[in-house]
This record gives sequence, C-alpha cells and structure tokens, in this order.
Amino acid sequence: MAKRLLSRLGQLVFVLWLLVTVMFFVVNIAGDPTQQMAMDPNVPPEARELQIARLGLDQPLHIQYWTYLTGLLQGDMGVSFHLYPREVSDIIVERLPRTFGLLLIATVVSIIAGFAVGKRVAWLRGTRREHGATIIAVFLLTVFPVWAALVMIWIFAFELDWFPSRGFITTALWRGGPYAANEVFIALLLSITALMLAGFAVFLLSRRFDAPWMRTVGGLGGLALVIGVFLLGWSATPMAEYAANIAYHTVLPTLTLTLLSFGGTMLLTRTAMMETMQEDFVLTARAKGLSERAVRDKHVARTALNPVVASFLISLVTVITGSIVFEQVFSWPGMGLTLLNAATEGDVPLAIGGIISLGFLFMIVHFLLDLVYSALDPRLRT
Amino acid sequence: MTTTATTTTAQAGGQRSSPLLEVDGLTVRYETLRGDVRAIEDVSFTLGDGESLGLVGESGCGKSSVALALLGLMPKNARVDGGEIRLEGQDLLRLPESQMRKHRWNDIAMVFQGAMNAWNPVYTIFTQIEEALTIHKGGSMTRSEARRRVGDLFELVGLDPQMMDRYPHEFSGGMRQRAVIAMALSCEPRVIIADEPTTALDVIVQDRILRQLKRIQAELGMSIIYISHDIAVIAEVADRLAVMYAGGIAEIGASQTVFGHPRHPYSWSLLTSTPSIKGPLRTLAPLAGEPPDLHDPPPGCPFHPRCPLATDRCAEDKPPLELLSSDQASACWYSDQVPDPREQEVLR
Amino acid sequence: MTTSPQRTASPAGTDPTGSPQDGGDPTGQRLATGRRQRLANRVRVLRASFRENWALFKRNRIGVVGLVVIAIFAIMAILHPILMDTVWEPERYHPVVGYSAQEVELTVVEEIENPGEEIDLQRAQLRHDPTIQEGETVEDTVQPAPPSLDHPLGTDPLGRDVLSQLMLGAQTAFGMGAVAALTTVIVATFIGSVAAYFRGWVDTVSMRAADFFLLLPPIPFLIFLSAIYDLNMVTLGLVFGLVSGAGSTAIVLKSQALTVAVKPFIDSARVAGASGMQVVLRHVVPNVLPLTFLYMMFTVSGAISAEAILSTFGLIDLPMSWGIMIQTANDAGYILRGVEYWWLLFPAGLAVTFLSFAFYLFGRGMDEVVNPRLRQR
Repeated sequence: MAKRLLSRLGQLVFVLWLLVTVMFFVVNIAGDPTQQMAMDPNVPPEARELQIARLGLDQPLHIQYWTYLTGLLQGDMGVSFHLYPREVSDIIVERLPRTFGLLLIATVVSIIAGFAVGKRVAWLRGTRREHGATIIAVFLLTVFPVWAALVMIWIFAFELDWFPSRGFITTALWRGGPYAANEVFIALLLSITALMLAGFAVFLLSRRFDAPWMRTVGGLGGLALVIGVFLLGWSATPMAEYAANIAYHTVLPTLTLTLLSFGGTMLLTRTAMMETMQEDFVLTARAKGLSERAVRDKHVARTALNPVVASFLISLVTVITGSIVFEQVFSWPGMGLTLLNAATEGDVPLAIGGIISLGFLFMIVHFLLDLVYSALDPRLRT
Repeated sequence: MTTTATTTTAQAGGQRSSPLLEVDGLTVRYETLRGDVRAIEDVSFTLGDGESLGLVGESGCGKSSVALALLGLMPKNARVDGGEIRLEGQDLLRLPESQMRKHRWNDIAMVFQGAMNAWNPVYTIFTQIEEALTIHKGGSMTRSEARRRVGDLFELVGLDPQMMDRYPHEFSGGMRQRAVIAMALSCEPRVIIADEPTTALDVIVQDRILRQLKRIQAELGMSIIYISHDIAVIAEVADRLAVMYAGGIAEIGASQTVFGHPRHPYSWSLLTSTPSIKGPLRTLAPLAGEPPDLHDPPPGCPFHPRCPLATDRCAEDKPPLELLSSDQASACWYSDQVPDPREQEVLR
Repeated sequence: MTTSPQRTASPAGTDPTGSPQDGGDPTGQRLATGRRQRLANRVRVLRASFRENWALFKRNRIGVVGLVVIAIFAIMAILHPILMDTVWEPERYHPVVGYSAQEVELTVVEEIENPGEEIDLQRAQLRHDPTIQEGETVEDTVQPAPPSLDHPLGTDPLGRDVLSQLMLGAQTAFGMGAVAALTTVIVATFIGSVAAYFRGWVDTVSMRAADFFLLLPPIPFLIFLSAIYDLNMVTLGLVFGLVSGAGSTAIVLKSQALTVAVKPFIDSARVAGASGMQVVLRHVVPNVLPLTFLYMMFTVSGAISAEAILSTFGLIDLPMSWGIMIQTANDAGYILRGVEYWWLLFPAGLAVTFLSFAFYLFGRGMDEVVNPRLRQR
C-alpha cells in the first residue's frame, strides 16, 4: 500500500509540474506580460524593468523557464502588478487558508449529508420520493451558482436579516482591536479541524457498541460533548468576539457552497448504491436474515462508499468552482476572489500564483481522499 | 390437485419419516414488462429429516426460483398464484417478513451459486459469518464463543481456522466455496439448499466439495436440496431426484431408479445426450430445440415440441404427475414407452 | 466450395478485399450493391434498436423531462431569427443594439410620494432641473422597464428587450455547448480508443494526459486564461471541452473500449488486412459511441454553466449571452434589488439553471439506457 501511495504522490507531483509548465507556455505565447504594467498608472517604470529582470524576460526561453521553476520552488512568485508592491506569495499565504477553510467545511458536511441521504434515496428506487429527491439534487448540482448565491443573499440577508450579505469582517468592530483578522481566522480554522477530527473519532468509537440504540446515543452524546467543549473553549478566550464575527460572515457562503455540493454527492451515492444493489452478496445478506435496513447500511452502503469517495474528486471541481463564484458574490476575500480580480485586472503574476495555489490545494485534497480510499477498500491494502 | 395425490407422488422415492419440508402445489409467476413469466407450475415435493433431494434441469426450468421461494427471497415482481411451503407444518409463504427473517439461515440456509460473489469484499470472512450468528443466536453468544464456533466450522469444511480474519479476495475459488458452506452451516439449519454447488469449479475440486457435503450431511443429520443442471453428478450424491422442465416437475423418484430407468422422455434425453466417462461409449441422442419461452408456454405438455414420443394428445392435455411405483413418478402420457438408456447403441 | 466475396457475410464494416481478381467484377458494381445492402441492413437494425431504447428511456421520466426542456430552449433559439425577420423591428428588438423606450409622462410635483419607486425618483430628479417648472409634464423614458405587452419580459438597463436577449442567449448556449461537447467527444474517444487498442506506452502516456485533464479544475483555469487571452465562444467551447470532460471521459471510454478490443471480429478485421488505425476507427469507435454521447450531455451541462459564470464576471468577449445579461444588470447596480427588478435577474439566471439542468437530466436518463448495470428488471 505504501508503494501505491508513493506512486500516487509521484503522479500528483508530475501533474503539478505539468500544470506549471503548461501555464508558463500559455503565458509566454501571449506576449509580454508586463505590458499591463506599463499601462498601469500605479506602477513606476523602474518597477517594470525590475520585473522584467526578475522574470528574466530579456533572456532566452529555457533560461526563463528554469528561473521560473526554481523561483517557484523557493516560493518566489513575483510581485503583483496591481497590488503592487505586495509579493504574490505573501498574498497567497494570506488568502489561501481562507478558501481552504471554506472548502474543508463544505466538503466534509456535504459528504456526510449527501451520503446519508443518497443511500436512503437509492433504496427507495423507482418511487416518487426517489424521483423527487433526484431532481432536487440535480437542480442543486446544475443551478447557476451566481443566481443561487443571490437568492440566498436575498432570503437570508435581506428578508430574514440573519447574516450579512458580504464581507469577511465588520471593519468597525476590528479597528483598533488587538488582533489581525488572519490570526483569528487561522485559530478558528485549526480548532474547527480539531473539532471535525474529534467528531470522527467519536463516530468510530460509537460503532464499537453492539446494540444499535447504544450506538446512536453514544454517537450523538459524544458529538454533543465535543461541540460543547469547542464552544466553551472559545467563549473563554479573549478572541471570542472576533472569532464570532468572522464566523458570522462566513456562514452564508459556506452554507451555499455546502448546499450545492450536497447535490453532487447525493447523486454519486445514489448511482453507486444502485450499481452495488445488483451484487450477489446482497442476496446472501438477505438470506442470512438481515433486516432491510441492515442490508442497506452495512452491506450496500458500505461497499458503495468506495466508488463515492473515488469519484468525489469530480465533485471537488464543482466545489472549487462554486467557492470562486461565492467568494465573488459575497465579497469574501479568499483565493478565488483574488484569482478573479487578478484575471480581470490583467495581473499576470497574481493570476499564475492563484492558479498554482488552487491547483496545489486541489491536489492535496485529492491525495487525502486517496488515503481515505485505500483505508476503506481492503483490496487495495495488500 | 388433491392433497393425497400430491403427497403420494411427492413422497415417491419412499422416505419413511414424516416430512420436514413440504412443498405443495407451488405456482409462481413473475410480472415483467413483456408479460407474465410462469416460473413455477404446480410443483410439489417433500423432504424428510436427513434426506437429500436433487432438483435437476436446464437453465430457466425453475429450480433456482424454487430455492428462492423456499427462503422467501423471490424478487419483487413475483406473484404466488397457489400452493404452500410447509416447514414442520408452518406455511412459510404467508408469513410476514419479520417472522420469515427468523427462519432464514436458522432453519433453511443456502449455499449460493458462484460463491465468489456471495462475499462482500470489504469485510472479513469471520465478520460475515459472525453476522449470521449474531442475528440468530444473538444474546447467547459472545464474541469469543463466535470465534470458536467459526473455527470449528472451518475445520469441518477443511479450511485453516487462522484464515478467518482474511478478506474474501485472499481466498481461492475452492476455498471460498468451502467458506460459503461453513457460513451456511453456522446456525445449524435443518435444511441446506446447495445451488449449483459445483459450477465454476474444476472437476477435482468439484468432487471434493460434493464428498464433503455428503459427509457433513451424514455427520450433522441435516437435509439437503441440491440444485444443478448436471444430472449425473447429482444422481450420485442425492437420495432422490426431481427432474424439472419449464417450471414443473417432469419426473421424481429415487435417484438410482430415475437415473437407471427414466420414465420421462426429458429425463431420458438428459441422460442420453451426454457421454459418460464410465461404461461403454454409446450413440448420443442430442436434444433438438430450445426450452420454451415461459412468457408463452406451449399448450398441453410443455415438452411436447421437442419430444420424440409426442402425439396430438400431448399437445392438448397436460399430463399430471402420476405415481408409477413406490419410488418413481412421472408426468407423461407415454411413460411406459420411454426406452432404457442402456439400449442406446454401443459404439465401442 | 468457393463463394464470391461479394456474397460472403463479412464482419461489420470491413471491406478488406475489393480487388478485381476474385469474383470477376472489374467495375466493382456488384460490390457496391453489397455495400448498399449492408448499409440498408444497418439502418434497419439501428432503427429497431432505437425504438427499443426509446421505450426504455421513456420509462424513466427524468430523462424525458430533460429532453422536453431542451426542446423548449431549442425552439427559442430557432425562433429568434424568425421573429427578428418578421414580427420584431430590429431597431427596437435587437438584443444588442436595439433600443426601446417606454415613454412616460411625468408631472413635476411638490411632494414625492414614494422615493423607492423609480418613477418617483425620476420625478425627484426633475425637480432639480431648473428649466422645468412645477406642474409641467415632461416626457421621459424609464429604463429598465417592467414587462408589458410590447416587451413580455421588460427591458434591461440599456433599453434592450429582455425576451429577445433571452432567445439569442439560447443560441449562444447551444452553440458553445456543441463546441465543448464535440471537443470532449473527439478528444476523449480518440485518447480512449487508441489507449485501449495499442496498449503499452501509448496507453500510459494517454492515461497520464487524461489524469492531467481530470485533475485540472476547469473554471479557475479558464479564469486564468481570460486574464491573458480574449476568449470568444469558440475558444471557450474548445478549452472547456478539453479541460472539463476529456479526462474522465477518456478513462471511462478506455475501459469500455477495452471490452470491445478483445472481441473476435476485431481480430478478423486485422487478419483481413485492415491497419491498426482503420480497426480503431471502424470497430472500436462505433461501439464506444453510445457512452460517449452520454458524457457529451454532461459536458454541455457544464459548459453552459461555465460560460454564464465567466460572462457574469465580465471575462468573455461576447456580445450577448445569458451571463452577459446578468453582468449588465450587475454593472448597473440592479442585482441586489432582487424582487423589484426580477426580470433582469430571474429569466437569465433561471434559463442557465434550467438548460444546464435539462442536459444533465437527459444524460442521467440516458445513463439508465446505456449502462446495463443500472437497469431495473
């Protein structure tokens, strides 16, 4: 198994390299990337020359490529044209964790919810409820994200006034405060990750119980405990108010993103379940006297989980796209919004940096999913 | 369809003890898009304690459907048009699902066809057998007791008990088949149904498995129903034989009697259409035509389009299963005209 | 016992001989008849299987719903040029350069009743105009205008008819979808079939390429590209088709093609002398086509959505599309006034949603036909 994972890792590195190279050539075919710089009044002409020198644009192509590659490995992605004089890598470090947080929560919740609903829906195959649920899921999957986001804003921000319609923080609150927004955000992100891991551990532990009622009680109880600890812990720190503010702004984009990716997971699960239901071991399970529910959950769903995780990658694409759209509509300053702005303003180094970092993020999640997948399927462990 | 008649014929082959399992006039059809398929037509047989019965026939003759019916696992589009299945007197067909579940595996277990796929790839063999034990012996069996039991079962079927914590893909085909048998025996059922126990196995393993089954049956005293298309193989291991065609029983009786002196043209065709390794090589009489489409079976006797003895009467009247002697019954108007297979011309 | 080659039943599609020395048919005319006969046969078989598949498809209402919606939009797209030529005057109804104004008479009043209302807002503005006295009636225009008999879906902030825009947008959507789908199909079929047939290093390289496409998130990549290049409908379709579907489709097609590649008739074709490429084209590809068609639907679904997203953000160089409609509304600041100016946001947004949705449903419906593992008894 270690060998397989290593080869997977190698594959990902290769693809990342391919991506970087493709982008290099794409950019260079287009001509001089610093042209925009020349036209931008913010940028002094020396900066342009500096950039040319830095990017090595006055040098032959293969040397440029080499410089580019080595620069990347050292974390040097140049200076942003538009947000001059900030370094691209600097901007990325600030913004990327935010998008990662958004993705993390949306992915985890949508997998859990999508799988739970999907397996029940697939079992009801052919009934009107199944058709209805499938249509709703497809709708969520294909709905125009911009429109969906606007509808969400309209409902929750305007009509109900539960959440703000844009922004990352309420600046008035933070001005003159002791903390930088990013500090608090990172702390929040780490603690939420810890919360998820704890929740997962609770789930695994609760499965050890034999009686089903004990499993449910233990599971829910453990979950409540973990969440309680989380909330108590936070309310004790001085950062609490600020963290709550960030959370307040993050709920709506996260919720919208989760809803949309939920549709994809549910459909995947449904298909995987329907294919697994035809397998012979399902008949065997029934013949042993297992209840319908046990057959569904312990045999079909458990086995269907494998292809679901494997194909989740394709949904991941929807999630990343969605995050970009929502960051824009909600004016939530993550990596997606940064990329979008860079593209609109012709800020080539930042655009490159944006794409590389998003691609990198995508591949990390891919690799993590691969790990999960090997753990789930014993056939891959030998 | 009088009960006395069916009971007598069903008992053809002479078992003395009162029947453990009685199938009485079972008639089932499947509703499909293209029309109704008459899968089981008025099938009756009995099975006593410690007895073995073979259900033999071509694919689609209804033998697997009968097996599923016994377990109450017929597909959703199955409709029972008549008959009863009595296990120690209790009608299984009309039991609510929750009750039927208790009987499954505990009283009637199945060794599945193509044992390869009977196993869920993500759980160990032990886990899957333990599952059955938990359901039926739940409270009274702890995990260590379960492990001991599975170990015993493994030894019984000739598997190394240490393998029980492995995954199905780590077993060879023959080993998986034995494991399936072990799982079937786990709850000490009264009846075991072995559905094509030897298909997809090579001949040597086939032989071994069948011997094992026979030995286990003798040791544990359960009843077995063998389902197969291979009449020669089943005739050797089963006490009684029922030849099925187009959803109904063509002939039923003691194995040696049916095998040696078939009284139905179809049984005769089965026996004379394949060469036997033992004995002299005889002329083969291959069976022409195809089994009937069960959406629209021919009138009268279902076999008549392919039958060498068929007359006009066969096309109009369907022959009932008639008791010919104490150990043989046949559903044919001309059962006395069926030739002796040994009359086939010897070639060498 | 020899039979002339024209009358021999040859494996589907191959015509390996045709050389004049066997059979004595120098003009090749009899060969042509044979070919025509085979073609007629194939058409008949296709029609029969089509009917059977259609019955199967109809059973699952999901696919049918999708098809119906697609048809509605297709009608819209087709209808547009007809309407432009007949009923609608171009100056007023052209989706890009038309201008239609609802003329309204405004009386300057002392007090403004409802400052939220656009008309009253304009009245308020008029009050500040020194050339106009109180009590005077002035003709002015109201943009964007709400739906009326003239303009069933109203007009946008630049005075253009929304319905006209919507219908033209349908053309753009289908056009781009077609380009994307074709790209995906051609690239994926090629990669998949070639990989399955040739195996070896060709296989490895193709699969690495497919992996690359698979791992690349399409929209971020497109956003990136738009920073450097100007994208129009065709280029957008091409790139999207390549980046979104090609990867996963190629992999699926390859495994499908593998099941075909081992079929005996391929061997017989090779024995008869067909070259590798010929075999791929004539045998592997047709077998793989139904599945390809299926994946095409999903690509189109994604392409429509992608285009809309990108144009909403102003990244594409198109005169009119549904995304552009939303962008126009957004730029003029009408987006968040949601319900009041619903005709600016809802038609376009819902159109994108529904058409993309419809293609996906259609694909799902086809899945049940094409994928035998999913079929119900």
